[in-house]
Amino acid sequence: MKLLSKILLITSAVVGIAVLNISVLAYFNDIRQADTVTIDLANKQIISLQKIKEHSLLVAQGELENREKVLEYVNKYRSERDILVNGGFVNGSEVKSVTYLSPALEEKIRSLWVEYRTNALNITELKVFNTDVLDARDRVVQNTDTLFSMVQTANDKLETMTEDLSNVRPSNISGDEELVPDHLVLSQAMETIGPRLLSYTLEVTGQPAERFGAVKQAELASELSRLVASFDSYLNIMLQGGVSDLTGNNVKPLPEELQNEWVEVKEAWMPLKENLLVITNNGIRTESFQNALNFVNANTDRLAELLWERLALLEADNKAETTFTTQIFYLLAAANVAVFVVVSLVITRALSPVTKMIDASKRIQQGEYGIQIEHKSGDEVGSLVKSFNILSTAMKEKIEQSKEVDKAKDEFLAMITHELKTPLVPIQGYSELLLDGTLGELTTEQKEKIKVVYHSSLSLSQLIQDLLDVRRLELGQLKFDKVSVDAGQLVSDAIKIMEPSAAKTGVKLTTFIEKPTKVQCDPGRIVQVLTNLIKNAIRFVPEKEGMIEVGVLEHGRGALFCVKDNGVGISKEMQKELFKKFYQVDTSARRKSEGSGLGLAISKGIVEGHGGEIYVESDAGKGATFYFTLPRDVI
Amino acid sequence: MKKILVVDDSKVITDLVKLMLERSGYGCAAANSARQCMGLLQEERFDLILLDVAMPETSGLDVLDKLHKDERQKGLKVVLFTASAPTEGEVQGYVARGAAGLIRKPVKKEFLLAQVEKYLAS
Repeated sequence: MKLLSKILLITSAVVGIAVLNISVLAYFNDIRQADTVTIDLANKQIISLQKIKEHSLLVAQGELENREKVLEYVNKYRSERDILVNGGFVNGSEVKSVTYLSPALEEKIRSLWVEYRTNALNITELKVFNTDVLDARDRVVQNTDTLFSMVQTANDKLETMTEDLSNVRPSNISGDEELVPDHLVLSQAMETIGPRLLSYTLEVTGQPAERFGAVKQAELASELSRLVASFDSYLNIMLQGGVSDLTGNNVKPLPEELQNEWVEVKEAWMPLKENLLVITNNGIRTESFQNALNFVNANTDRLAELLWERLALLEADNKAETTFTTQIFYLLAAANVAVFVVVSLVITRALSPVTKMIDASKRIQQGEYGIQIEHKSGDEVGSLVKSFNILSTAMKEKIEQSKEVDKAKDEFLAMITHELKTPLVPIQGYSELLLDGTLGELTTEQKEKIKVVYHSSLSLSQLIQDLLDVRRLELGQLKFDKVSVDAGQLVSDAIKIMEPSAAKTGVKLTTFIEKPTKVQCDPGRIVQVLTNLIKNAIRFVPEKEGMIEVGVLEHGRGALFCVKDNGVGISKEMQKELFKKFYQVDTSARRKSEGSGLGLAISKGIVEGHGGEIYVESDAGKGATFYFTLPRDVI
Repeated sequence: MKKILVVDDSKVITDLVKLMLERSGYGCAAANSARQCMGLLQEERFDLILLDVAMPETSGLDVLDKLHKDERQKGLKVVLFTASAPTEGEVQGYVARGAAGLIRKPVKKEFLLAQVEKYLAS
């Protein structure tokens, strides 16, 4: 696969997992939010329900302005119910229908609510209080005082009579002796009942029923009813006789002469009794209202319980969903890690040969040839590795070839040197012996010709030596055995060698040594440079008038050597070419023995091999000065 | 009279060097191979041997090694004589193997005699 395709693939994988991450997170965030909103809404619905009951009770206590509140909460409950059942939006968050949780439960809630709602609406519409009861109460309040005072008067009279009877004729009214106390007990009981009738009436019809709840009110109503019955029964026994539940005796009616007051009491009692019965039989509230209230009162908790049940289901479901969400998150994290690992592996695998190639290149630079890299792949890196291996092999072959060629060249050069010099031995040797008369005296002409042979052989010998040096410089094989020497000593050594040939041509050779300076160098080679320069100078100075000055002075970080002549000088163009191999200054300028054309090239190689530099300063016709530097001896 | 043995596979060279040395008053013998050289050394005692390095069959360096090991030739100065151009390092290697020194060919008569005198004196 191509590198570009791999990159595209990796990028797609990374983008894909990113999109997956974002969408999963967004999706679950929505769900979580929706769940929270749903639970919230279900809670609110229960509150609405409680509010309906709360405000209904207030209505029942006569605070009629709460009817609006009841209606408001019924409507609130209804809209909350609509969203929960059908689904919808709350503040932009979606709420799912909860009916899936338990259709049976939903049905229970629905049917109960239908009934509940009807009753709640009744509370907001129906007349609360029973007008008859209110009227009856008013009359009771107006008339009880009269009745009680009548009962009190009658009672007082009865008590007096009873005392009189016991005082005046304690034994002759035998039958009455037993009867009077019974009547007195009844009359006293009626006297105590009287005020209670009023207070019970007020409490039963009380609005608001602050001290008592509706239940207490009902209890009081039945108590009131009992009191009415008792009063009625005692009054009847007084007038007509009967069994008194107070004493358990069969009581005879009051004697005629004592009945008047009690007849009056009865006359006053009858209308009051009617009113009291209205109150005890009907209750303060209208029946239909009371029914509605009773329903709401009894069913709010039932409905709330159903709603709590639903809320519990909802929360359980949400919890299950949360667990599922957590699992999805773990799965997502695992997928992320997997993609990361795969991407890393692909990249590492694709790029590892690059690192290997860099290492291999470094090793090649250090002279380790022919390194091969193991890597197979169809991408560009694969082909690069292939090319690298081919290149590496080719390079190794070339290097080996060139080493072989160099070796062959070296061997050839050594052989040539040896083979060229060997025949020079007798040529040079016998020429010398002929010239010095060892083999007998020669004629002047013979001597002159033999001299030519002798000098030619010397030149040829020098040329061979120079060629060898040049070659060794090129190969870097010319080794310098560096020692610390005095720069002035080097100049003196060179002068000693060159003095005879200078003297032969009448050239004046002088030296100046400014200051003893130690330099680090191969003395033989530096003397060779100096003699080369002096030899060149001798060639180009006029015979007899020639002046050559050789010196050394301290310069910068080392020594500066100079060879100055008063010869023909060297033009600027020639100066550039001077240090090249086989360069010969124009033939016409040459005066004496030929040079190899290698001397300056060798000198340059030697000086540079010591870390110095060589250069010439000259104007044509005004002589030339050659300079070269050597670094100071580092102690 | 000091006796010098000149060894070179070229008779032209041994003749020349012999001539130079004899005229200067040295007793001189020549050998044109390593075998001849060893034979002469068995028969006679020499003060100095001028030994060519590059010879067919047995080279001058092999002869040098043999002589260096040979107790009887202890006083014999071996001076190598060569037309090739050994580097300074190579020359030092030869000295370590027992050579007294090295003279490069071709050689001027004056230089040859000065060197021979120097080695004999050392």
